[in-house]
Amino acid sequence: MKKISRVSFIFTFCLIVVMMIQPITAAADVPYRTFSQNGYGELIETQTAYTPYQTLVQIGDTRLNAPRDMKVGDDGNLYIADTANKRVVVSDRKGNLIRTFGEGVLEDPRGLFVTAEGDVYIADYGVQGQDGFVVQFDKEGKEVVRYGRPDSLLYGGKTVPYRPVKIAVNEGGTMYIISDGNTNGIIQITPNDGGQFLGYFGTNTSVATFMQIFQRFLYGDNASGISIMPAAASNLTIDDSGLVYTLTGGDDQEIPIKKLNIAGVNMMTTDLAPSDGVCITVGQYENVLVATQTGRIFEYNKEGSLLFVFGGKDNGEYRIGLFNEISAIDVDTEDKIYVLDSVSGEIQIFKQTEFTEKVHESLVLYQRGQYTASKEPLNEVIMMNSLFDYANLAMGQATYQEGNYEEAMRYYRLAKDTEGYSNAYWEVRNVWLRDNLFISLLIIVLVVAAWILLKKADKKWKIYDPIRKALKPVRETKTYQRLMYGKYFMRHPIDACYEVKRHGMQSYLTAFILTLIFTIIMVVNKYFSGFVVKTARDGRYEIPTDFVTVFGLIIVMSAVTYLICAINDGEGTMKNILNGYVYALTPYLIIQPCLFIFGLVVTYNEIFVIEFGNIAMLTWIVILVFLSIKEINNYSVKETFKVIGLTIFATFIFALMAFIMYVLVAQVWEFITAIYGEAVSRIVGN
Amino acid sequence: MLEINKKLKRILCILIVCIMITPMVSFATNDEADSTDSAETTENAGEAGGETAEPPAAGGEETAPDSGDDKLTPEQLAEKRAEEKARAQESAVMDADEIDKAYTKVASTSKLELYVNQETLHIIIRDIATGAVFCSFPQDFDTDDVFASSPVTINYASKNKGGSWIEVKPENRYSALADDVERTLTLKENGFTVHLNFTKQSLEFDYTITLDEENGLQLHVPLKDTLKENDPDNFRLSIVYLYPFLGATKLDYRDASLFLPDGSGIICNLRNFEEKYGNTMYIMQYYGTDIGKMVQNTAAEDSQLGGRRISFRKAGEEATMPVFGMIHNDTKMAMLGVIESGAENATCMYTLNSYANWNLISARYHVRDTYQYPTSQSGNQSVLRLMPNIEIDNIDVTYLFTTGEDADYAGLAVKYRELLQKNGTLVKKDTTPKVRVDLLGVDKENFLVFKRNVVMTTTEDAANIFDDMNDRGVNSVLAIYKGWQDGGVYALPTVDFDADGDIGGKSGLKDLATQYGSKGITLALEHDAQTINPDLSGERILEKVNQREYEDAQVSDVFDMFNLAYPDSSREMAVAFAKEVVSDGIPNVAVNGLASETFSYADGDTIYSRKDTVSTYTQTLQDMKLQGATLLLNQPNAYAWKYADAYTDLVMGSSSYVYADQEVPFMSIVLKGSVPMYSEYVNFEAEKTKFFLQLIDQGVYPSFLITQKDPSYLENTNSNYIYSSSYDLYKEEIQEYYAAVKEVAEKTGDAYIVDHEELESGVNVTTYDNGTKVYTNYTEEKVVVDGFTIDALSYEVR
Repeated sequence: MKKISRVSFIFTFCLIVVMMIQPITAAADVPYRTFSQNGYGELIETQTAYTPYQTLVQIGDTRLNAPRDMKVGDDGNLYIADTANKRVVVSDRKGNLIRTFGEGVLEDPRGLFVTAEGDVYIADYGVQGQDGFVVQFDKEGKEVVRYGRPDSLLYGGKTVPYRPVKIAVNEGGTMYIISDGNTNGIIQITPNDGGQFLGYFGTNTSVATFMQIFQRFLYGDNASGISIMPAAASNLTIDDSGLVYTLTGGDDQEIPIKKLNIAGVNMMTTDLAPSDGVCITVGQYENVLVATQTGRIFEYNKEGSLLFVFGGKDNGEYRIGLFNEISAIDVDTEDKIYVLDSVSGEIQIFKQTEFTEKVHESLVLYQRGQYTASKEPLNEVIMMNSLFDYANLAMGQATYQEGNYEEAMRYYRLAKDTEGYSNAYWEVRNVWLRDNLFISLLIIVLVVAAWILLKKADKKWKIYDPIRKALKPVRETKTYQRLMYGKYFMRHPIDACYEVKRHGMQSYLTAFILTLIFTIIMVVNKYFSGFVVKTARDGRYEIPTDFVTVFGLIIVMSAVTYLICAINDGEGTMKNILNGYVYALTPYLIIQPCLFIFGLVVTYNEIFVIEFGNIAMLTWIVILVFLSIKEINNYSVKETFKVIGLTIFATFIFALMAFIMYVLVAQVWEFITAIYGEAVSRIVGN
Repeated sequence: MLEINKKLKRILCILIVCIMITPMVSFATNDEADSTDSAETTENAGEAGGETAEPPAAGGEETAPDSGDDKLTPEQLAEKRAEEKARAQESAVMDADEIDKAYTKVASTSKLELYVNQETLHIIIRDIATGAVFCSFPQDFDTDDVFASSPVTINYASKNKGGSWIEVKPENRYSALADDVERTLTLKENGFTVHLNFTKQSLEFDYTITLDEENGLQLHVPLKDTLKENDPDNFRLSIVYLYPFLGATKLDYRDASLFLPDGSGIICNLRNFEEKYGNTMYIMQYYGTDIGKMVQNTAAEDSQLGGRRISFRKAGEEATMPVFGMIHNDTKMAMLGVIESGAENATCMYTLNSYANWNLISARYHVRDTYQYPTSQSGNQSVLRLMPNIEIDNIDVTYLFTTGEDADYAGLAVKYRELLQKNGTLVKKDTTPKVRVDLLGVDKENFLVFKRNVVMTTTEDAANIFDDMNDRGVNSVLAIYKGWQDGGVYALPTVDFDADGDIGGKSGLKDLATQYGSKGITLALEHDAQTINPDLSGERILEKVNQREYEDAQVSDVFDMFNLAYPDSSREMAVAFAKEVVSDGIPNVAVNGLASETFSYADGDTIYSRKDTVSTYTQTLQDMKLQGATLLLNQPNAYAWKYADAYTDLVMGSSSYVYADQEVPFMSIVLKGSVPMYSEYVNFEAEKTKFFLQLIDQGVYPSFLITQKDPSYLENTNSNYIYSSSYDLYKEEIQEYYAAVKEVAEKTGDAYIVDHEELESGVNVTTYDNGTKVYTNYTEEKVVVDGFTIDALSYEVR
């Protein structure tokens, strides 16, 4: 008897408890890709996280008709709102019918909730033209109580619709109901006194875009189509601790997925949430699963980081694992995902893979703060996928906790987590400083001492004279003087501008060389700075673009300024203004290298130094630019402001013109080729 | 003077500002006129061609006529169906004298008889021993649809008012049984020949059906010699359907299954699907989609989630074998259609309860396709054109029949193998069990203004890996070096044997090959003469039939576009390469592309079809072999099997269609014992245990993609899809897989598979012709079969 590989066995049996015998759909290949989010927020492909396990085509002998909701009860059974058949279907997880109920009571059951005790709540949309209702059934499927429209004044009167479509119930029996067309929020009703309206919960706020505000400004508040009503939540669920998760569709939602505490405050932020979510559920690790109209399933961890996204829409190919229209999603205690498809009336069951098992295992330990214990499964996750950034991040945290800071730095960097990296680096640097403090201080003292001594020696014996002599020819060239002139310009801009204008402290060559130096410093700073302060991502270089941008900007700005100045009685020539601008950049050439070196060893604790340096540098440059425009053209302060304003405006126009020219030329080109193409096709074509 | 100068300057400046503003104003006012303009010139830009970049491997295509059953009450319908069912089952088996008198027996062998109705041209194939029949016009045809009742149907292309070609299905469909079609049937020895003259369209061609002992049932359409398009300015032949209903069944009347060549093969059990799959004809193009006729290059379903263009859906598996099968389980008679000629432009077509509830499977032959010819730069304006030459010279189909115990997929596969052996496609190659360990050498990442090497595995690393494997008892290895060439794995096409210095150069590779050749390690070099990386190569880029370059866009900062090379230049490069490596002592070439991808294309004004490409590519492979090279082909299509010394990346699964009841190892049964088969990479399998069992079940050898360095170094390269590959992680797994595969292979040797069946759900048995039986248990529980126990997720060789 051959046992297959031990490793494979350990992988497989880790979490498998008791499995049902079921037909093997030996589908090694799935029709969808699985993605995860990397540290840059981009989706990257990863191992298949869930594979199709089984499809329940029908429950017992009956098929579901346009089912709209489904929950896995605590008893392990599936409760399905069989909407078009106006009933509730209870099935075991293999698709055997247990019972149906609600026939004759329900009209249009669209939402369903099962409590821990087994009570079933149904949100019924009701018949056309009437209010809907909520019904509570007991375990056996007997109607217990029916909740109609709340008569409280707070509800908002007769004009506010009451068409329940989704429902969730907390431990105390308080119902959270979503009503179609009611944008006030989620209706909260307690079971006391036959159903008391408690108020609206978790109301979405509306976000007006700049365009909407502009439209409102133009057309007035009442113009059609531009009212800024908050979108209503489209689905919800509740977890064991009573936190309510809501899902709101629509492109303009800032927070489509919310995790609301009892006070209605959102506790979760996701930076990559779908705008077309239709249903939501919470797994046993507080992981949140969301399914969308486009047939994709998103899994988030407790904090809202995206773990996986997979699935897709079936375009009439009928491939297992793709969907027509998802209406509900839920998870059982074995981490199987149940997805209800309202068009095909089928339930597709997905099983987690070995990889996902490990991810979940480490997730639990990690969330509990058992970082060291989480290392083992994390290691396996990383071995299976060394680019899984969530695991790298967690591993960074775990190794950091253990005090293995260098390892932590590596993982944080892989996960692109600057903050963690900075913390780990602080520790590493600390150790280094502790070990090398004496020596480094000694070196610094020695260097300073040597510097002072040499200077003194030079004063006394002129030891530098040979060097001075050798450099004299260079120092005497006009270009060298002009290049070095920036130092003077920085400190005495007013005098310096005069020099630039009158005494030839300007040349195109100087401007070119200085701009070149500026660009080189900028490029070095952009691509080789310390990880904590680095703005460009690793592995991405756009150096030609950088050069074109800097040179282009300086030339365009000088040209535009010159044009504007020329019609505003300015005295400066193009050359004056160009050199003025370039000299005004000198502070960058001097300060930035210092900041760069400091940036190599900085952590977030000292980042303010860099920030301060940047602000100082920028202010200085702005002042210099202002003064150079003023002095070179001999303007008053008021005139200068005017010219600067005009320059900015003209630059904007210039950019716009370039864009329009581009579009026009492209269109004309397209037109010509189209005519040519069609003519050729008609004449020569078959 | 100064004053004038100043004024002049001022005027000039105002002028410049004015010039700046003018185009903006004109743009704003002209905007609307522009857009209507472009709308008018658009023609045929919509669905006409039906081509998208990633068309579903099996897409619903057209709606068939209704059965008319809706007019009946449920009771009437049930009664009608019960009656029909009884008749269908009754007529499934016929004595010779029960056959309709309109049919004449025209040929027979010791096993089969061929009957033809000289009026309607329909045929019946009868198994003499059991009396089971396959009819091309089954009983109870209750539809008037021309297509359904006709033995031969054509689609023709005609010209629309504007003078461009249209080929609208099904309006341009025409039955050979129509009144104005002249049908001349000539009986001949072993069969008959039919001459069809579609007088209305002025189209003529012949076809022949023969049945003899040696070749079995064959259908032959010599289009090249007999096709006459007498009014070529107005009518051209576009599609031919030949006996599509041969062996068709209705609803659940018969216990029957379809065999589809999806991936390794799937079985679809026919039943009453309750209209689940619509009234639709499904199609699956043989040898994959023709990328030379695609309009766009980008994937159809894209998403911008997370700021990156990604595609969620994976393309389905391709049909690499030109076959289609119908299995009648009740009468134990099965048929496999093998397209021996013309498959390059044929599609497998099948229905699941459509055309008045029929289940059929057949092939459709695209003699001439239409394609979109864009007339504008952006491609959103186009005209429809017709391929100038016929794309199929001759249609040759051999229908293989099995009966009794062999009337299942395994029986058909064995029969198909025998056919391939007879015509010389399958020859016994060295099938020693090996584990395939592919090594990735170099890829590129951006650095400053250039691209630098990311070295993953040097020849020295490879030597260490081989040593370590030898120490672990892994002494029979196929190692394909990827990214060995100067410039890395995406320096394509591979022109000559020029290894990257960073992995140890040419001498490093040669040393590696000679040093380890004697230790059981076969070193092969990956070679791709088909793909062009335009950033690194000046090779001429292939144009699609619409005279636009073929572009394969990638989401990458390093190389974001790949193109294709012209087949002729691929041939030159590949043959020269083979010559070079053979003389340098590394004769093993892992060929990418040439055997698996075929397309139509344009070279200047000349348009070539897939058959031309196939011919050039097979010629190339043959020439490479003549140079003395050993060829490892990556997912080769059936026409290239002849040249394969090994089959790599064998697909063991399928596209997972909902209607696929069983994934069957059809391809493995055909190839096992003749060509060594290597799986896709174990690294990227989510369900490793099941994957492992499939390897054992199908007699396939495992494959790994290995790097010495951690794959996180590949993060900024085009190879960033590799998320798990370091040798340290896989060394134990390689050892275990090898040991297991070797142990099984010692018992199976180079025997052929003679049977494969599912004993019970999740328990398979593979029988070899040397008597060895391999049992695999995919279930998570112990099972007892044939008197012994097999552990959960385990296997047993007897």
